[in-house]
Formats: sequence, structure tokens, C-alpha cells
Amino acid sequence: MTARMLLFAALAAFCVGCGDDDAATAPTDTEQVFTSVTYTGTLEVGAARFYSFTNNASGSVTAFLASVTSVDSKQPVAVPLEIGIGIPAGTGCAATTTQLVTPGLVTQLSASLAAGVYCVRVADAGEIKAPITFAVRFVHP
Amino acid sequence: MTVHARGLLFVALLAAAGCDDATTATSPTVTSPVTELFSGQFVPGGSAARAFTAASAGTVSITLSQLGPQTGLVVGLGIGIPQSNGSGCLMTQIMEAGASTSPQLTVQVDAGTYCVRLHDLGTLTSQVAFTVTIVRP
Repeated sequence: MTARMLLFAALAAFCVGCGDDDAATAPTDTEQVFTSVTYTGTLEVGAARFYSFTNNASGSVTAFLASVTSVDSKQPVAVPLEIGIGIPAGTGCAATTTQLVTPGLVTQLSASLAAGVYCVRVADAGEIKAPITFAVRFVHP
Repeated sequence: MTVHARGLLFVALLAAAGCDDATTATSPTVTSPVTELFSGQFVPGGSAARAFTAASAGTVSITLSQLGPQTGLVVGLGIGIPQSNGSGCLMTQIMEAGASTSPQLTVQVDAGTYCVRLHDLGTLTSQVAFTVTIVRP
């Protein structure tokens, strides 16, 4: 074997030896996209309000009552409200899952739902004595 | 085989043998909890708020670490969620607070965006400067 042949062998090894042998694969898109919504409003004594939203895919919907403040004083109050998730029905929201909760910043209510139109409902369960403003944060697919 | 040819063969063998993945394992970087400082000033009757993001569920602790220049001042300190239009902070929990070296609000949160707010309780007579230390996931 001549020196020239060996030089060729060395160069060939440099050129072809270091490729990544893994076959290219198309990226898979399995990560679900969630939307965070802050629903705010004013609630009179004994009243209920709701907000409709569309689940773009099946998945878990979570919600928490983030804030309840007095309309008069603008100060947070620790009064419990009923929050629920359900299906719009006529001019209301037929809640299928409900919880009586005080304000917090972690999930207080969750439901596994198919794609479709649903609603988040906030209601006085007989606990408030004067109008309040509320904020519910919910996350849905 | 000459000495020169042996040298070239050695080079060729090195080239062929040196193609293992040279990446070495590295330990993941710890990024949580994260400490943020929120500093500013507000006037009597005023307030100041700042949003922050919890990258994952966990504990948020808030400390009013500086408040002055006068000593003994007390203001309202709270945590909540930002309004959708970015115009303010919807309060979840508030308290009266002076400068402290230990956390004054400790709250469990989901991953998401939150806000901290300071406000005058009606006791300030001049502008105050503050620093709030936020420790979040």
C-alpha cells in the first residue's frame, strides 16, 4: 500500500465517519395548548353570573376564585362563593361541577371535558351581604 | 510499509475511531425558586403593583424588605392576579406590613401570572420608597 493510498483512506475516514446515523423523524405535536382566562364581574346578593368558553380539544379544565372584593370598600373579603363548570342552558349555565370556595391561587375546581362549549359559573350561596366584585381564573384546552 | 505510510495509517485509524458522541452529561440547572426585587416609590394615597410569573406550581413568598426613608411606616401589601387589560391587580389577600427581613405573605400558587401590590393605608404624609422581595417557583 502506498503512502498516497493511505492518505486517501485517512481523508475518506474524516469525511464519512462522523455523521449522525439517526434517521430524521418528523416532529410530533402532542403538547396540548391551554388558554388562561380571567373572568371578572360584579355579583349582587343572591345572584349568579356565568361566562361561556369553547374547549378546543378534550382535556382538563381547572379554575380558582382568585379575588372577592367589596364594591363599597374595594377591599378583599374572605366570603365564600360557589364556582362551577357546566353547559350553557338557555340564558343560564347548568353547572355540573361546583365548589364553595374562598379566594386562593391554586386550583379549586377541575373537570375533564370533551371539546365543546362550556361555561364557568359564579354564584352567591347565601354568604354575601352586599355587592362584591369577583375574579375567577380558569384554564382550558 | 514505510514509516511515513505507517503514520498515515495511524491517522486514518484515529479518524475512524474518533467519532463517538463527545457530549458529556451535564446536570440540569436549578432554576427554582427565583428571587425578584420590585423597587419603586409611591405618593400618599397611591399604590404600586408589579406582575410576576410562577413557572410552575409552588410557594410564593413576599417580603417588604425596605420601606422608607422614614422608619416605622406601615402600608398595605397584597398578592393577586393581574387584570386582563393590565390596568391593575385583583387582590386575593392583603395585609398591613412594615419593613421586614422575613416573608410576610406566603401563598401556594398554580403556574401562571400573579401580581404584588403596595398601597397607602391613608397614613402616609410624603412619598415613600420601597423594595419588595418576591420568591417564586
